[in-house]
Amino acid sequence: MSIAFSQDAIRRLPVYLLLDTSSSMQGVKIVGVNNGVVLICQELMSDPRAASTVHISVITFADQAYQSPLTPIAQFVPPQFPANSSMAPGTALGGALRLLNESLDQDIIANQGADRKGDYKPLVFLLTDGEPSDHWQTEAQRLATRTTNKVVNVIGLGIGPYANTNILRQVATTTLLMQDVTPANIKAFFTWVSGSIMTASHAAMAYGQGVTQQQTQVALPPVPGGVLPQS
Amino acid sequence: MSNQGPNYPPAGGPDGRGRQTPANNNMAPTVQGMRVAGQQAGPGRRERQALPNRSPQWIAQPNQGATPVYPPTASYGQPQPIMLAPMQEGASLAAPVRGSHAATGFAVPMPATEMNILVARVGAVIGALTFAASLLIVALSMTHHSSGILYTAGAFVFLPITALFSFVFWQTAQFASEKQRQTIRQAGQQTAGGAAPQPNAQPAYAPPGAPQPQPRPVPQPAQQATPQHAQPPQTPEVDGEPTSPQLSPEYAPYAPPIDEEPTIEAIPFKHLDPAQFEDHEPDQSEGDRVEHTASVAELGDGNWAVLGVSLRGLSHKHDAKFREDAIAGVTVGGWQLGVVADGGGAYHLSRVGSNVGARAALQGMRAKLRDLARTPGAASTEGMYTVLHAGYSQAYEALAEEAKTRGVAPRDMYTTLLLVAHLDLGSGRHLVGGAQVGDGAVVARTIAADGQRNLTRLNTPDIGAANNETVFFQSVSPDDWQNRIFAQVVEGAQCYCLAMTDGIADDFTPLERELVRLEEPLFRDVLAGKKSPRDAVPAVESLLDYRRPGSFDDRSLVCIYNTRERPWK
Repeated sequence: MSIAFSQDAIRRLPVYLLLDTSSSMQGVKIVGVNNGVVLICQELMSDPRAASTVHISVITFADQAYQSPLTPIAQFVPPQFPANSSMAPGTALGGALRLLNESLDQDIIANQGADRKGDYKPLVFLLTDGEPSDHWQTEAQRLATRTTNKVVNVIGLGIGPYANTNILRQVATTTLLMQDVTPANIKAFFTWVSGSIMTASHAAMAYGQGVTQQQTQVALPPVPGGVLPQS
Repeated sequence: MSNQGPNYPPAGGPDGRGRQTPANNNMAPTVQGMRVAGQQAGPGRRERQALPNRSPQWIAQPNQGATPVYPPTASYGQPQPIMLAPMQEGASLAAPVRGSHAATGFAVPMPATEMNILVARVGAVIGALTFAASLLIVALSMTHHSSGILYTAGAFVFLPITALFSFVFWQTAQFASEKQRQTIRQAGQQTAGGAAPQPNAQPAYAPPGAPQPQPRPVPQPAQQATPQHAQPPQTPEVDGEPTSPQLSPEYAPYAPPIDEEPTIEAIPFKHLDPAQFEDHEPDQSEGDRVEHTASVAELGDGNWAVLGVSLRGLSHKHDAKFREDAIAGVTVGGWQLGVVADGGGAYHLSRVGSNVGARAALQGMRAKLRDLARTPGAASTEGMYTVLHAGYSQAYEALAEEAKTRGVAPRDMYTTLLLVAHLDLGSGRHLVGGAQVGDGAVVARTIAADGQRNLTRLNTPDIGAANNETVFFQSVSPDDWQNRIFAQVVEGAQCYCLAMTDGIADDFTPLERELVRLEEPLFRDVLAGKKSPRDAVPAVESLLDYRRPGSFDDRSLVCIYNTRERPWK
């Protein structure tokens, strides 16, 4: 006496990490990012809800943008960017946003029909330490004006003094700036990111009453010290 | 190329801009899940000249004819080919790179040759000799006071000039030699591989056991605990004579100095098992306590029964929270009434809201039925509508009253509210009704004499991409109830009705196709043969305590059925 469920995919909480891997990121920044993604993984695996719903895709951008497929957190292997060599110049933010938009179009299951619920609303975290070297406005606009699979939480973090927060503000719904790039600050930020993802996964379950709540922004935890909200 | 892992930045041309020979376009179908996009055409961007043509064709299509690979071998771990932009037409891989040198910022006006290097080195040596001579003259003029003051001053002036000359010549020689080495390496690749260039980087991350693309041990940057500046290679390829044309040009010729010395330790990644849900009791000090399970079992006229079960979800167990669903049910005369409610998890008194709402709705429906008992024509869809409407009215008032008494906002007690009602009209006709605000489902199943099964929805689900509003019972105007209350007469030799919260409904969507997975075991294995619904409660609880990935919510189900019927055999 038990229920034989169909093998339909469960509802996912998609998380996109858009990471700047240009040559200016080398050193502490990129190792901090490496560690941060490892930290996110381990934190999420320690939460049973997040462990079974969060799917991660990493989009890196330097001279070009690359995407790893949306992967269940339990099977996700964090990227290890080389710390000191062979990092390309350029910051192809437009390319990264284009991949994001395409993935939102192709990979995310929208609500279908009367009671077929799609994936939870995706979370997007964008990290950059410079300013775009390509044309990003069109894709940013496309992201902001999506009608299906709308992203309501785009968190942009500028790393260091050369990050252009004016541009970040136009892409992100929440813009943060890390003035002092220290290992501690980077770690604190990623701890906050995993906390935010867990909050979102919890909110997704707790609301229960469907996707409608997910149209509104998830109330994220307070940002850590060392990171300043930019309004 | 085929055994090369994706790396960051990806393998590309010698200038690190992701150039590849056109031959690599053939690799596209082997790309698994890796997508790539580059800079797009647009005004005012930097490096425009150096970048490949940004036409849409070169965006690699993911998963061509293949499903996404899980685990994501394509992402980082296993060697996989990656798709890169085709090289610009006419560009030659072996051509020396024109651009600015990272170290000096000097433009590179001409190709480096042996002669350049020789001239620069000779210049450096002459500079050094002049410097030594100046130094000697200064020393002599200091010790022999016979020499003139002009002579001494002249020597002093010559000192820094000669030193500068010597330095500049030496730097030029080094730079020219470096450029020459690059050029020779590129030429070597072209001759060795024909079209395919050799990888210029090791996989950035290789899990233990993964095959190493290069047999020769190469320093793995990712494994260095403290990143250091790029060093020239410690390989035999000195001054222009590579030992092999396939040498991996792994190192970066120069890495600009970083301001701060990195003092960050790389954290190794290891796979963890996902955490399991645990069972925690809510804090003893918490008010408004709710039992972890609840059940309703009533048997009425004509063997019609109302059976309801509500279970605390994994999520609430893990977080030491109370169940937020509520159920209620009763049989009144020939009528069977049921209520399920699901308190909104984000609102701290939602469990109060769901319980108050469910209880009041049931009372409202009962009261209306008592009134209707004296009215002819109650056993109609209009009668059903007024009964359900009365349930909603009473619940609405009770919730407003409760919020007022407690001094809280209505939203603190947000809950969904789903009603179900049934009246057997005889001769295989059934009056069924449902009302719904919020998620979940209310359905009626009829089974014809020939075994034909039909599912009738008694609700309009509150989801939809366009719906931007939070839908809870308190957030919907009573004027909108008319769109949310359904009453109709269905026909079938057998009939039953189900109302469930989304904790169950979401696991069986689409209902038309999937709900049978619940109905079949429920009626065939659990309810069949039990004369009293009370006897069936433990088995129903056990059935609903299933495990399904992604299903953590409270689960509540109210079932109106006839204990004599066998809808599933």
